[in-house]
Amino acid sequence: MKPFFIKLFKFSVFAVTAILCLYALTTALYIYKLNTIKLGDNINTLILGDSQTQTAVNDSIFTNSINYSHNSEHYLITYNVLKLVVSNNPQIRNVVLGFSFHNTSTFYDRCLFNEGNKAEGISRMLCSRYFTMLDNSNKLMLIENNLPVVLKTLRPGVLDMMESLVYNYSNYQDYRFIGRYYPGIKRILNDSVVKESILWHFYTDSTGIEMENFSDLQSEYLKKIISFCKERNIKVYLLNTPVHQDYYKQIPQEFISRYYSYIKDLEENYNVTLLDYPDCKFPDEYFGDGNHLNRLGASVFTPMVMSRIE
Amino acid sequence: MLFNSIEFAIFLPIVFTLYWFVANKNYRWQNFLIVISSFVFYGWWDWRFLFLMIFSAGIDFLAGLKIEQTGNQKKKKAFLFLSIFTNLGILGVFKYFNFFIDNFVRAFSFLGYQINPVSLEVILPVGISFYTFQALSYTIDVYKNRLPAVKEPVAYFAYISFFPQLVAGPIERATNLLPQFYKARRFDYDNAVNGLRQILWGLFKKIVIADNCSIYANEIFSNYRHYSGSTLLLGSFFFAFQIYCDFSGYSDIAIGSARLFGFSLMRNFAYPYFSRDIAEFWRRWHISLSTWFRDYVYIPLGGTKVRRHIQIRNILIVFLISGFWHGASWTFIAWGLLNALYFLPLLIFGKHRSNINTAAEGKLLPSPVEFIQISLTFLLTSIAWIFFRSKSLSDSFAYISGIFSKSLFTVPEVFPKSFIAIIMAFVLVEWLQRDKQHALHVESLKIPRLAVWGFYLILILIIFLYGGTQQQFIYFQF
Repeated sequence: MKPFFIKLFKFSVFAVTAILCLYALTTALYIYKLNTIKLGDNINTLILGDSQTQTAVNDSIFTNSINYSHNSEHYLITYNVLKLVVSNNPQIRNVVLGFSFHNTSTFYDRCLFNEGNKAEGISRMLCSRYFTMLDNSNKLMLIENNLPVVLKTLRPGVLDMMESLVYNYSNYQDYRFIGRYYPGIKRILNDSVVKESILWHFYTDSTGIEMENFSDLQSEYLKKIISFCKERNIKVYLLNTPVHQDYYKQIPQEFISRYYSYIKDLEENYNVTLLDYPDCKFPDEYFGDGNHLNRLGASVFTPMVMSRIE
Repeated sequence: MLFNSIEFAIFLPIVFTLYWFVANKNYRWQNFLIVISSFVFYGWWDWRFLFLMIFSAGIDFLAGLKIEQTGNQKKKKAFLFLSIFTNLGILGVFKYFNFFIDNFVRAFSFLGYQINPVSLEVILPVGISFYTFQALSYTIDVYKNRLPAVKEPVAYFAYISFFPQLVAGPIERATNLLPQFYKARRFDYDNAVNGLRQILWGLFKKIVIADNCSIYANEIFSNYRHYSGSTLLLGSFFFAFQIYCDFSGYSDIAIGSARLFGFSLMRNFAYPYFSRDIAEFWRRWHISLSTWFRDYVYIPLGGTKVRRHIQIRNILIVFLISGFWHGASWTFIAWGLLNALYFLPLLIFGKHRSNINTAAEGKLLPSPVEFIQISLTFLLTSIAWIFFRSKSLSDSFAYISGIFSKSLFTVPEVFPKSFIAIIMAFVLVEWLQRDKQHALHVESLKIPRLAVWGFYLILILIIFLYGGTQQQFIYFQF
């Protein structure tokens, strides 16, 4: 019996040590790869944000730009992405950052920390894709607030890292945590789809009774992004992308008024420019659903944004 | 409790420690611990069905005693029938009642009568087909004087509920397993290490191969109308690997776990996909069930000592019952029938025992003839699995006709290269070890320990990294 336990113990020590070493090595190589990626010298505009900018701005039309928007991205994550990309690419002069009405709601906080209704799927996706590239304080924040999901997503996270090393990725967009322009959402624009998005963005439950709050965390990281850019002389444009009128009309007024009073504060104190298009009355055929443009919509909208960038 | 769950990873070491360090003074204490831990294991899924198992096992225990005690042959037979009817009755109610009612109603509707059916809203108790057959083996063996009746209820309940093989076998014969509960068990280092290896291989089969195959098989079988013939054929191969690795993986974990407690369970799979004909396949697939049917159905019906046409009838009966054992659906019956049709030509031409030994015995590679035989047998088996996997007979036929279309010769739409590479590596390891009890079975190691540990570590890493979404074992439903 004793030799059995001794051997089992020895093997366990060997296995745990080897796994930890492999994990550390993989992570180190992964971070190294990420930190050595260079964008083309001509790229001076970064487009960041969530699925709104992901679908609205086509970087193949927008010259000298690259779209790294990723669906459901919290500003905490965008801040880390921005730091990573800009630290290796000092030629960046402009950041176009998605800032729609729902970006002020606590919806993305709940997704990030897996709190309450509808959150787990997105939480898992975010943790598995982004955890390794976050700075240590943000990693700790996730561990403190969302440990079960962090543990559950370790495996896909490691797989992603290994895949990126095996295939020797040399472009940010090959990494799963970095988004890219996504040409439209294959959904039909109808009342239920619009209603679903409204409930998703502004209410904590599916009945539409309890409204989301204004997110302090989103605000904190939005300001961090702006400050980070300011320190590096990067101009920040906040982009409120077009939404369908049916969607716009159902946004709780409280969010709209709070949004504009908040933006006023940002414009005054942080010198940002708002590119404000939610009410631009695009025809139905430009939309994938109530709040995302499709390929056609993006082809019309992208030049509009481009013309506003100095 | 699933073998591939965190709960089991905690449960097994606890029971193992208690078994060898606390209850090791007396085998009766160990039996008692086995009963308690088996009840916890089973009750973890649904504690209410524990009572069902205790009830049916209790009847069998008493029936066994009475069969032995009475000298009157008629009474012996009556107690045997009591046991058989209790077991098959419970099985019939929980598993087959709705099937018979549905078909009864359909038959009457066909004749123009409308009947309001009564159906039962019951959950099928996990493992009922397994422990029922194991219990039947006991009373039949006592009746046939192959075995004395058990006097100790704890030993009997330990035999029926032994947690490693309680819910999906191997279906043990009382003559093999019961006597092991009467002996003092000594910890055997080599046996325990071998058990751990077998558990590791079983987990690899289940978590890496079966659970990942299920992703592709489910996708293809659910949308078979939209896929090409080549994809459908690949889908049937995915399911063939899924069911093999799911079930044999479970058996490996069961047998390996039993080894840790000093028990030897019967072998359940012997590399069936390396069979050269269907008869060999059935000697290598789900051996505990095949031999159960052989011993308790086929031989009592006359076995090989009857005329050829009676043998053919008996084979048909056994395969049909075997199909029906798997589930109350016409698809399982069709699967059994198709296997019987595969098997009968071999029986008729006296070729059903042509391939008794292992394929390419003593050689590294099979001969071209063996290779063709193995491939053809695998293909036939995979076609039969389509009936097993489909929701209805019409789906099965539509799926098969979808395979044999022009698009059979196109590139499959679903072709996960890296996963297929893992399957190929898995097949290679099994092929190299095909004369062993399991793929990680090594008698004497001449390889450095570090290399062996490295290999285990790679397996553990692959299990961790490539583990699909946790799926229940397919055979839990039977």
